[in-house]
Amino acid sequence: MSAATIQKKADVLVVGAGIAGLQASLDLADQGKQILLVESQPSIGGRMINLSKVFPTLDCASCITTPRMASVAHHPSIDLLTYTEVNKIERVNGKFHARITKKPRYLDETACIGCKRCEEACTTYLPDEYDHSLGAKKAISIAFTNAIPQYPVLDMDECLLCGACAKACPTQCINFMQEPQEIEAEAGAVIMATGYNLTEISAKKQYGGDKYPNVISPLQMERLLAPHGPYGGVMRPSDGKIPDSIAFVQCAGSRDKSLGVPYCSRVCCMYAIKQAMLLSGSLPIADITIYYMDIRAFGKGYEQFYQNAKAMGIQFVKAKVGRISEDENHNPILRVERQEDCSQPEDVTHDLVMLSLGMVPAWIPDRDGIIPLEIGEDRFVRSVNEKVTPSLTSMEGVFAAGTMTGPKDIVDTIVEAGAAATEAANYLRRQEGR
Amino acid sequence: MEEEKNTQSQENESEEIRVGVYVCHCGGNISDVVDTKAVVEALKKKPNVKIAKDFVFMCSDPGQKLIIDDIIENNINRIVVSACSPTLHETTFRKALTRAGLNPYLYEHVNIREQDSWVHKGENEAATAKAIRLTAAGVEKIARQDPLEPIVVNAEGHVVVIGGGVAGMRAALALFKRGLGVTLIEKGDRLGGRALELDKVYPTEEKATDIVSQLENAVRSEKLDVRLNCEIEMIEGFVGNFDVQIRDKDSKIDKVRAGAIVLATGFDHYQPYEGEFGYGKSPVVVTLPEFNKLIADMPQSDKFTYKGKEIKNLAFIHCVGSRQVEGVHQPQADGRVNEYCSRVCCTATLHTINKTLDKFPNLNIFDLYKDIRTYGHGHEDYYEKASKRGVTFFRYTDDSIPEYAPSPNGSGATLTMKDVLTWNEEVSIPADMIVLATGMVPREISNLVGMLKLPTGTDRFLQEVHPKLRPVELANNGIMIAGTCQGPMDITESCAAAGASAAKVSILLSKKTIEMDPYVARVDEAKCDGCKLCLAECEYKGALFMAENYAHVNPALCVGCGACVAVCPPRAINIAGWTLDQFDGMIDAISMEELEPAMVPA
Amino acid sequence: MEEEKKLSYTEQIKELRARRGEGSKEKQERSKEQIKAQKAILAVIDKEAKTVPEIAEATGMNTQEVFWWITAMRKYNKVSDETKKGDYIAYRKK
Ligand SMILES: Cc1cc2nc3c(=O)[nH]c(=O)nc-3n(C[C@H](O)[C@H](O)[C@H](O)COP(=O)(O)OP(=O)(O)OC[C@H]3O[C@@H](n4cnc5c(N)ncnc54)[C@H](O)[C@@H]3O)c2cc1C
Ligand SMILES: Cc1cc2nc3c(=O)[nH]c(=O)nc-3n(C[C@H](O)[C@H](O)[C@H](O)COP(=O)(O)OP(=O)(O)OC[C@H]3O[C@@H](n4cnc5c(N)ncnc54)[C@H](O)[C@@H]3O)c2cc1C
Ligand code: SF4
Ligand code: SF4
Ligand code: SF4
Ligand code: SF4
Ligand code: SF4
Repeated sequence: MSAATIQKKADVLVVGAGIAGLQASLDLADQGKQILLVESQPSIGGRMINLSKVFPTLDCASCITTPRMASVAHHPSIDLLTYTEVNKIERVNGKFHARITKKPRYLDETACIGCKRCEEACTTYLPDEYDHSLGAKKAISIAFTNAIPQYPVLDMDECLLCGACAKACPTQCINFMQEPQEIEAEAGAVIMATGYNLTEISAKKQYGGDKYPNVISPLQMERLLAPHGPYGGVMRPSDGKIPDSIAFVQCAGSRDKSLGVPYCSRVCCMYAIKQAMLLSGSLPIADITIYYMDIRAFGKGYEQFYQNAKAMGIQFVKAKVGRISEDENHNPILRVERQEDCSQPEDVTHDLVMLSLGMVPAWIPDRDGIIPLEIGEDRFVRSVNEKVTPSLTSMEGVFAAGTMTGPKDIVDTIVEAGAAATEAANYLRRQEGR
Repeated sequence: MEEEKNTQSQENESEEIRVGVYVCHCGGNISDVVDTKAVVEALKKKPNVKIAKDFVFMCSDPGQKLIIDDIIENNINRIVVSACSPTLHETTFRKALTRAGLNPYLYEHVNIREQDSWVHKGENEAATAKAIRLTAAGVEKIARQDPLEPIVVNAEGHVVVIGGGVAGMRAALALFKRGLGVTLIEKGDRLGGRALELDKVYPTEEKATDIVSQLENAVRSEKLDVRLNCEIEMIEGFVGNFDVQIRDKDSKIDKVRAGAIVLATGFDHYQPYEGEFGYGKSPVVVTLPEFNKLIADMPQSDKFTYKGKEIKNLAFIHCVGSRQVEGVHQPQADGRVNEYCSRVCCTATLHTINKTLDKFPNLNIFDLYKDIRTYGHGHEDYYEKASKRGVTFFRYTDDSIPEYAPSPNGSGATLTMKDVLTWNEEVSIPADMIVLATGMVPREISNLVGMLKLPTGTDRFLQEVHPKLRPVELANNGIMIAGTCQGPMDITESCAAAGASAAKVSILLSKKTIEMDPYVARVDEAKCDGCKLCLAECEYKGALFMAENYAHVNPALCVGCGACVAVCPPRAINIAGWTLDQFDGMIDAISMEELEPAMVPA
Repeated sequence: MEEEKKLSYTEQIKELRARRGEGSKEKQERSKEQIKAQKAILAVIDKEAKTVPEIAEATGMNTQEVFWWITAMRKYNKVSDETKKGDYIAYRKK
């Protein structure tokens, strides 16, 4: 039995609160537009808040993301819904109608003070998706230290129903019987900013990413390098060993027709270089090798970043990695076919290996519904005027920003978010003029 | 932007100073080196400090809430946060003060990360002592701070866009549609910029002229104020109120008042020096833009003839004028090499190669590269297609840059290099013609750079405020950038940047007025003896002047540089928020003697 | 929602457990396993700091599982890093 449907109204509905959605919302709200921003995760911030430091400035990611997150959360013109799904968006008489469901956190957000007592009391441990399963969380937990908002989510599927959290909660705000809240919203325009996922680590069978504990994903490597990471330092998942020899395998999920990802994912060269630099900072004596086809350091200041990495002693080896296996101590063994110096394939053993996985869209209209936007061959949402107005989608009044239209780094995402905000504002003005 | 503002009254002059100190762990960025608890304990002992706390992420919501609660519940009226660089979070915390009803300028941000924990790794004790001194200085400074009010200036709802390439047109259109007045200034005799040189463009294969016409038609039909054959004579004024003097081709000057300026002055092609891979010496060595122009109108044929001779072997060399390495490449006029990658030339080259093969399917094409950077939407397809069509790729390194040797008969050349793809085998590539994939350099705009004191990077392109977070703003208030004046980009990226800069201008000019930080000079008229020494120091026209026998400041023009302060004998001038009194207090705190053992608990 | 909130926590839990049926047991089993694993590890590092391979050896659990629990207990303040031993960190009960 759920409560009555809530009605909301806004100038622009923004879907997804990664850096693209945050920036687009701010750029519109600062012009006086009313925004309804919907995020499916418990916290805003998207992938960026999950990173260690960012290339090429090496600013700590959480330090530069939290100000944006806080500005959005406190903006009087931005109505923020987290842990909320958009089910359907329809265009009716030039207006957009959205059906939205706020998922139950199993607590009353107006009463919760974010004290974490519930989390301390809970005895059910689960893999923490924020740390990409490297670390643990509880069945009731706040997503991460600087999450916004600071409300926990209770995972009803995993909860033991022991009641410890409710007993510990000083405000009595936990409600095990909470139901989803239905919301209907009307908006003049829509910005989609649903971001990306990584290609599956299991996709390339010969790399065994799903079988070998010390063959990890790039986002796991980000967590190992983050100041607040799960291990409190760089260690490998199989046994907590501090690695002496770390390898990066480039294009491990991109530029590969057999994976259905023929395109270049555009950021993986740079994040690998960044991670290698950070590793050599925290493990000065470790051997760090990057196996690559081409280093694509094309952005402003990126080539210089690459040259710095070379000067720091990071090994760049132009080679193909044919397959990966492991020895009895879970040391990954790479079959390396070098293109320089020697032509014989050789087996090289490392302590820890990161696969530079590629980027694929997180939301695909014809797979996931919501709103029927046209997509391109690469399955990213297609721009109908790519050269001049990249944020224009196939539906009038719907704009796209960030990695949902194709792989890109943070700065290109922010630029595109600003462009989408401009288009949305001008579209609204045209509509009003009619 | 905020709901409530400065509700707490500050009338009570003799109000007790109650400082709250908050020390941030920054995850572990700070607390792994600085003993934050020790800093808190030391600061608690300082006069005026009523509360001192540490927290894992001060900038997070719970962190900010600590401050807000203390202001409201414990009557704290001055705040010091010791954390990261103020460029990151000063505004975050100011806004928190505003939300709590406190004047936002009663806030001091102390940097114990970049200036302490990050540079003193492994010296934990000394770093902790330094953090204590720096924080104590912050307390002394803020204890001497009065509430300040932002400077409010009028915002003219008009924008001047400089440069009429795709980026400039795109920005101008977006701004005009937003309801702002726009003047678009182009020094050439038509709109379109470098895109006019292109034939079909990657990856959409649209004709560049169609893209330009699409934009130009929109610009024309919107009745935007377009000035062709015009250049900037002079720009004076400040954000919200720039006076722009425009000189036309008859040297007549016209004046436009603008609230903001968008720079979209674009790029130039890198010009190889004479002899660079034979350029300028041999007629068969051309640059990529020259080659594009050359083949644009050639009909399809089974033979490619150039200067009366059949070309059978055509070689392309990447990275000419880009990705240069000091000691390997000849430096540019300013003594620096072009370290940057020009971003578009790899895809542009492979695009051209495919186009060339469409026309001349029998050509042998060699591609000499360092890395193939076909990163963007549809780019990789050109690379793959070229490989499939039999283009031979050679990969060179900085240790083995292709060596050019003209053929004895003078008609072609040989390129010699070590090829990484065949395990460093030395190869000699016969080429009847050579195309140099030249990169981008910024256009010559030194007059604008000088006039507006624009920041440029080591790559000579205009330098944005923050390369990640604020990519289309310059440090100069009210001046945005769009397109390739900032760095290499393709048309899509230039247009996106133009859209983003239009958003920033729209925000700036969305209200009738603009608020600016009040850190400007203030003259104590009672102390000023009218010596005029300060006037000679001020570099900012109109900022400082004499009237009624004492110095006056125009707060909108003063940049708060402090040059005048330094020369004033009776200490009559002060920068608000950075007074001499405050400096004295800070210096005393930093140089205080008694500190360590007693104050730093083990 | 209002009426439901009036149910006491005991009533809420009873009701939900009933709805869950057999599933409840599974969760309780898992909880026991989790508590057992933590106890086993904590017992080994109660007096003396040990590395993950050492704990695995002593408890008979595999290293990956031990490390995951160490990570979990570090986060929730039951275990702290002690010293570096070779290429490993030695952990100790808090
Ligand atoms: C390992 C790694 C390291 C990187 N390092 C760097 C770096 O150092 N520097 C750099 O510039 N870039 C880096 N990047 C790239 C960077 O992560 C992206 O450019 C950026 O995060 C993209 O932001 P976004 O907002 O487009 O997408 P996201 O961050 O993915 O945000 C999308 C948001 O939308 C939400 N969402 C999705 N679907 C829905 C839905 N249906 N309803 C509601 N919400 C939804 C998601 O939950 C998410 O919060 C890195 C990438 C990786 C993989
Ligand atoms: C060989 C080559 C091939 C390319 N191929 C493609 C392609 O296929 N697809 C693609 O997307 N991109 C391509 N590009 C990139 C594309 O050319 C640029 O992205 C685009 O032209 C940049 O536009 P802009 O407006 O930033 O600069 P510009 O085109 O340089 O325009 C700047 C304008 O400002 C004017 N100006 C300069 N200074 C002043 C001043 N002081 N006062 C007044 N006016 C001034 C100039 O006269 C000019 O009109 C290619 C580039 C090269 C070099
Ligand atoms: S009821 Fe569930 S969430 Fe609450 S403490 Fe028990 S297991 Fe954890
Ligand atoms: S214990 Fe209660 S108030 Fe505290 S975080 Fe948990 S639900 Fe919120
Ligand atoms: S960015 Fe680098 S690693 Fe990623 S797909 Fe492109 S070339 Fe491969
Ligand atoms: S885009 Fe390619 S050719 Fe151009 S500078 Fe970069 S690597 Fe060299
Ligand atoms: S502070 Fe600088 S700009 Fe301001 S009046 Fe003094 S000298 Fe001029």
